[in-house]
Amino acid sequence: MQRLLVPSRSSGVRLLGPSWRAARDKVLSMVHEDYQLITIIGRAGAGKTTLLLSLEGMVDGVFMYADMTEVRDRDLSAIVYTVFTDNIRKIQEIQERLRRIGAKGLLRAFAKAGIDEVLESAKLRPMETLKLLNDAVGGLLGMSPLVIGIDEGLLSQDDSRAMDFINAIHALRNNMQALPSTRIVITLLPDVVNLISKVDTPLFDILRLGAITLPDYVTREDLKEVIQEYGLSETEMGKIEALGPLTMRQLICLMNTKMDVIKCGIDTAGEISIE
Amino acid sequence: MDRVDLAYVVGVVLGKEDVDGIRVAYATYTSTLGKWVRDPEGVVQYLVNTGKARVVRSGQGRSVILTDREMMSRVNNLLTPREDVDPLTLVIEGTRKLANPLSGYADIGDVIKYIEGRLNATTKEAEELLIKAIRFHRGGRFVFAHGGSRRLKIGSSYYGLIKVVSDAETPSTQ
Repeated sequence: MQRLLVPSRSSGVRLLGPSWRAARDKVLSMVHEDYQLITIIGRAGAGKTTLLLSLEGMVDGVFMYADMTEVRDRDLSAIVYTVFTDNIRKIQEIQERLRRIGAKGLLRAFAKAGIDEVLESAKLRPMETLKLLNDAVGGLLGMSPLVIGIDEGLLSQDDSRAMDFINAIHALRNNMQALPSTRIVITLLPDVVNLISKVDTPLFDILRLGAITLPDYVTREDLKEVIQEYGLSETEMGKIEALGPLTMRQLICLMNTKMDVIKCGIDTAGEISIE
Repeated sequence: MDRVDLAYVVGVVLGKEDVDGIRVAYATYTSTLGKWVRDPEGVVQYLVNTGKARVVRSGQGRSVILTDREMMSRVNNLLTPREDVDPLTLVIEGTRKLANPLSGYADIGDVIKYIEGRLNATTKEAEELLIKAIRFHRGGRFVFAHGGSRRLKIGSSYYGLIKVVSDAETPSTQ
């Protein structure tokens, strides 16, 4: 039952709701306008992962999705390693293309390396390996841009790995000049954004230039579309509106559970206290 | 309230701010103080002995200077009437003021401190005011997220960040 409250990581995600499509259009325009560090901010259930997954097939160039929620570490090495492991088929295709056109120098070595060698390189020399991928996609193969989606929506300010993650993003910030064809799209919870603003102001200043804050709840137009998609009536719409502001995840859960408020974690009459 | 507290209340009400503290004419001070205590001059002497006041010559007469800054500030706070504010307005104002410019969410712990400061209230009073505002208006005025320095329990969920709903509707970019 609880799986209804976590997003499916399968490809081919369909993005419901005009507000969410507007958010995706903004991400796509930022990718197009050469923003290199793009942040999608939203509370739990706001649709960060779904939005990121829905970029597959929407961006020009190459899209790689990295699911950090299943990985133990959060440093740069772990992030780049995950990008390569989660997208190994795409990496192999790029290697094949490089071999076909007869790449020279370091790119030739990259093209000829086996899977294990590539992954080891991603782990031991993350920035150098990412730069090779950047140069292959953007330079020699002309498949620019390389859009890397880092799904980090579950890391909270209280997670001991939060600082590792912030340092890794800072390293990507510092190396943007060396990765001109790469666009990094990161998902972040609001509390991690608060933490970054307190502990790493230079990073915060860069992130805020390319940030999108997802709607915290569905609007009437979003609700209408979802209701229509699931074939529910206007009466149901009134009932849902009476529940107060809902996240997109809560709304989709209501659709899938035939309006089971409890199963979808919606507290309508709960007590309020401060601990 | 003990006799020292009373002596400071009377001093703050009658006196004027001076470089060394609050200055009040000796005769006026003791006669007013005498309305509530039997031996006002003894009280002044007690204040002098405990380092909370000085008696100085002033023209033809004398003045009492109350010197304990901490006591003065406590009495001033006591005498300043609480602002009659609408809890919702205050919570919205505090949340917006303290919101992170990127996420739009404010730390609930910071909002509580803000209310404490604005109303000169205790932490418990500020928490009660926040809960009151949320309880009556959560159906449409606020959304919550995890994190923050204090834990707000709503039903069975815990939150630590708060955002005003009208700021949360559409996707925003900087």
